[in-house]
Amino acid sequence: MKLIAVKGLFGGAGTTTITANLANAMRRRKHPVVALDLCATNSLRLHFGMPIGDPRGLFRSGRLVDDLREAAFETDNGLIYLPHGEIDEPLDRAAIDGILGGLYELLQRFESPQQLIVFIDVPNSESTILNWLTSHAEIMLHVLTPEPRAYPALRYFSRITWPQIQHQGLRHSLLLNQCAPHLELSRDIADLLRRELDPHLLVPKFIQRDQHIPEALATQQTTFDFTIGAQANVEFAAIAEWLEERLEVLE
Amino acid sequence: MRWFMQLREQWREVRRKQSRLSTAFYLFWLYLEVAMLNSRASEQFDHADQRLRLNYWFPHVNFQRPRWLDPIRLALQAVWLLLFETQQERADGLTQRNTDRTSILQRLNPWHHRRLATKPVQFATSGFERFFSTLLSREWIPSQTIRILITVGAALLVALVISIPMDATDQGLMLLFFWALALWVRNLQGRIPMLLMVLLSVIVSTRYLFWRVTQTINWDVPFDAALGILLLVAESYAWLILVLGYIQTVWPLERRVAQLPADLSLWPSVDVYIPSYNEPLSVVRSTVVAATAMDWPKDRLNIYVLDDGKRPDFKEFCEEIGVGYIVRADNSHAKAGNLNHALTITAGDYITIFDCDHIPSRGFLQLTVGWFFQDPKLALVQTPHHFFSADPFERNLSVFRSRPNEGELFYGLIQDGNDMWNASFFCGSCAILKRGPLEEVGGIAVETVTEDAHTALKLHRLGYNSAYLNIPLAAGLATESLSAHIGQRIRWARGMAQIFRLDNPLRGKGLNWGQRICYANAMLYFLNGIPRTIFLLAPLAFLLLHSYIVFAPAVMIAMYAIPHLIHANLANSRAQGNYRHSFWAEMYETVLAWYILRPTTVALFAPKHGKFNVTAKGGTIERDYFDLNISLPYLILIGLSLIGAGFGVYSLFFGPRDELLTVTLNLFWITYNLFILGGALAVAEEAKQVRASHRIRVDRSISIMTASEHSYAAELIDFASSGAGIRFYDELPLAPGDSIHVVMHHGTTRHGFPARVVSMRGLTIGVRFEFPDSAAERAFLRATFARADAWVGWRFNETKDQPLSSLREILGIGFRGYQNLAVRLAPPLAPVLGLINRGWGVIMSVLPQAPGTGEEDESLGV
Repeated sequence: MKLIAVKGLFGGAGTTTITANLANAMRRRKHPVVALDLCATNSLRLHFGMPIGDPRGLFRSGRLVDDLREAAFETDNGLIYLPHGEIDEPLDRAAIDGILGGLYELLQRFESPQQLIVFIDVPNSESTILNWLTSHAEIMLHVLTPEPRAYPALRYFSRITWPQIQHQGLRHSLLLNQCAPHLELSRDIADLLRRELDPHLLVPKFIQRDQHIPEALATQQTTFDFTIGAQANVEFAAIAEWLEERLEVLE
Repeated sequence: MRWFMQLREQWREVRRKQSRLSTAFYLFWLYLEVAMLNSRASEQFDHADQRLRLNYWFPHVNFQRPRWLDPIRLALQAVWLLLFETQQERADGLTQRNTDRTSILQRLNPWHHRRLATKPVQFATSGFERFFSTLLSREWIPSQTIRILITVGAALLVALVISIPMDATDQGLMLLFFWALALWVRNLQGRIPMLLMVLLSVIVSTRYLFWRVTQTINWDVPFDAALGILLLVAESYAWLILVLGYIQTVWPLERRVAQLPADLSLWPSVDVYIPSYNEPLSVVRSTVVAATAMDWPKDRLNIYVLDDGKRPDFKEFCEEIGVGYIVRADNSHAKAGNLNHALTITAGDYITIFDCDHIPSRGFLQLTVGWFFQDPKLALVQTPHHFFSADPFERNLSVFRSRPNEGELFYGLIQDGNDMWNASFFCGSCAILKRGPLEEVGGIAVETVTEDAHTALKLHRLGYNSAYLNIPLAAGLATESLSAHIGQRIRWARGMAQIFRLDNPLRGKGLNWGQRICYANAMLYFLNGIPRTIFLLAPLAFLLLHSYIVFAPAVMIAMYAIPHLIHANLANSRAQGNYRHSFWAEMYETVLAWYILRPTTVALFAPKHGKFNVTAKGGTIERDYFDLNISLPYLILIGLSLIGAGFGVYSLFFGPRDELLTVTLNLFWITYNLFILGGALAVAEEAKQVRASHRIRVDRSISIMTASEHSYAAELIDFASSGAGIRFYDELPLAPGDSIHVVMHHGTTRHGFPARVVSMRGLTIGVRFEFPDSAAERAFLRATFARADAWVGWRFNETKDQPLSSLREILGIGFRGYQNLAVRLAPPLAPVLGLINRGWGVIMSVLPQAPGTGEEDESLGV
């Protein structure tokens, strides 16, 4: 089982959308894929068409479901997604570790779990979840957008977060989202980041600003289902291919 | 019952689009295909194996639209497939000789059995291939003395082979053996087999010339002797050029890029000169902006526009984008004088020169300067002149980017061969020179009209080295019309002849023998006007004047001359085939012959005479027209040849019997000449060219962003300095007049360029760019013309020359020339010619075709 954690460097970087669409792109490349939502906002499911009022999901009244069959849903093309579930109050921090362990157990019960690729939408502020993922995930994608606030965020990241999330076997990559090639500021910041960051740290592909992405969410679809010709699909596919190489799984 | 329902359903589906007959035909073939080739619809969809489709085996039959001659096509193709080995099968046979997987078709094939018989030959071939490849890698002659002895022995043997007299039969046998040898090693890899072919060609040609000199001049008839000597001189010239050409190109250096020092502070300062005289700003603009976008430390890169036209709009433009602008008081010595004047004003360590239409790619300096660090005596690095527009040959014969063009031989091979002898020379543009040596020789040479080659010669004489980097790093416009092309070549020819007189490379100090030979060949080559005209007229001497200019029995002529031609062709095809296909040189040279004849002769006798003319570029040709002025000399030659051919045919029937063979030989020769001259006519038929800026066809993934910030994946299909053509994968909500951003990569950056949709056709749109500032324009050039890999893949290193199909092509072009002429002279003939063409097309369409060459048939959507 290969876990890919998708985490924002700051709020609103677009992690949920990227999780949903990357999972979909990977699924289109014929891998067994699970999209897992650990954010309490419970919005990942909306990309796959689940009605917003549906409370089902991994967590029910503060605790993990016993059987994933209660929480797992499948899209038309066979992608399995696990919504977070509606909760009334935040999860007990002390219990999260155990809950995640239980979740891992449950995922192992899938058919041929060693080939499973799990995309996880990770909340920004939960250090417990982050710690657990540090020792379990293969790749952690840190999403950022080329705008001025990327700078203080990267500073904080390198000073505070980076030392915490170092772990043997876990690879980190920074993924640029919402690049606007027609705007000078966006272009310049992207150029600057590319020049200053370690080239191995940056995902070689990036995601261009594309109005199709929010519109797809508004109609509760992935961008691929929404508009086949959207540039975003080309990029999600390219990143999926790149991930394939890094995970050493062939199509 | 179910299959019947299915059949009915399919019938209805197809009937929606086609008539009853076609539907029956189509379904018949479809079921046959399924039954015979065991193909499945799913496999067809994925193109898993093309060989499971009837279309693959019968590429010239459209099974959806039957035609009346299809039964004949099918029958001929089936017989052909059964009896003969296709090229694909041959290739497969070469790669997997020992496989047991032979298909039924192959097993029925008699060639399959023949292959068993050729086993020993194959064994010998592979043995020799190994032998040839090890020859290169080890020192197989131990001492210098033995080496000299072997060389002397071999030279004596060659001299014997060249000079030994033989009768027709012996001569024929020997040359058959040589020919077999050449054909045998023709497909072997490596340079040693090529050397062997070149050696054979030299031996056979020298033997021919030796025989010609010693035995074929009839001294008893003064008139014949005079004409005979004239032809002999022309043939000696051709022989000399052949041999010098072999020496020049037999071992190209294939120089690679040299690394620059990692320490940026060591990189030298470079002045970029862009001389201009009368070219419009629209042409020069891209070059200047792209020069500013070259990857080099900004404080050490200075760009200067050297404007001999002294135009205010140029001055304004240069100030606007911040490059130097240099004018001078007079225009003495044209381009050379212009460059020399700038040399006194600027101070960079190196001088890079771009003609004003040669757009440099961003990597030009980084890829060329490295060699100066490797070799302190290096004074010049030249790169190829690459053209992104079609030259008159390519345009008028519609062969743009499908055949190696005229310049390809020089820039692809000859300069690389020159480099081996440290004799690659300066070509006036796309080169970088070291200031010190350049000033030492007094700047750019001004004595001749080809200042570039002469400057390089002077540098070589002082012991400096030159280098040639065979990577297109800049691209420009080809000459726009045949007359402009000829004008340019007249200048080169005149200049080379001038250098030959004023500063003969065979004499004087400082050059090694390789350099002398390379320079001499470059200059002698342009003297081909007289010899070529002689060859065009020579058969007339016999046919019209009944003069025996080659005084020998026709059989002997055939026995000596034909092997000479065949070997020269085989060796040239092997050595140069990737850069110029066989027989094309004949046409290129014939077109020029008449025009360079006079200026080169004048320059040889009065080298100081003659002036510089500027080559016009970037223009348009409003409509098709036939350049009668250019073709007049060829029309006269054609007229004479036709009269000669008429007499020849007459004497074939009514002439003396003993001259029959001689007449036939001359008729062959004159027919060939007529076809080549027809080619010259075809080139003079100027095809229209209406776009002011040239569009470069590409196929590259890009994206566009609409005003609403929707991004769509798209394909860039062509671009020019001001616009682009874009194709989408799906219908888009766009209309002409809409503003969009075209997003392209340059390096790792993506840049969106504002543009307006100007046209829409289906999934394709045309846009015009609206750059807000010169920075955007620079970025655009970096993403297009100046991309480091912009011109990669334009050359023809993979297309193999096939002499016979090349000959067929040239004959076709010649024929087209006459057709065009006939239509010009007598327009009512047009429908007749159209009918002939159609008939020919039908005949050709019936002949068998190689499997898998058909176009993808449109799907019926069943």
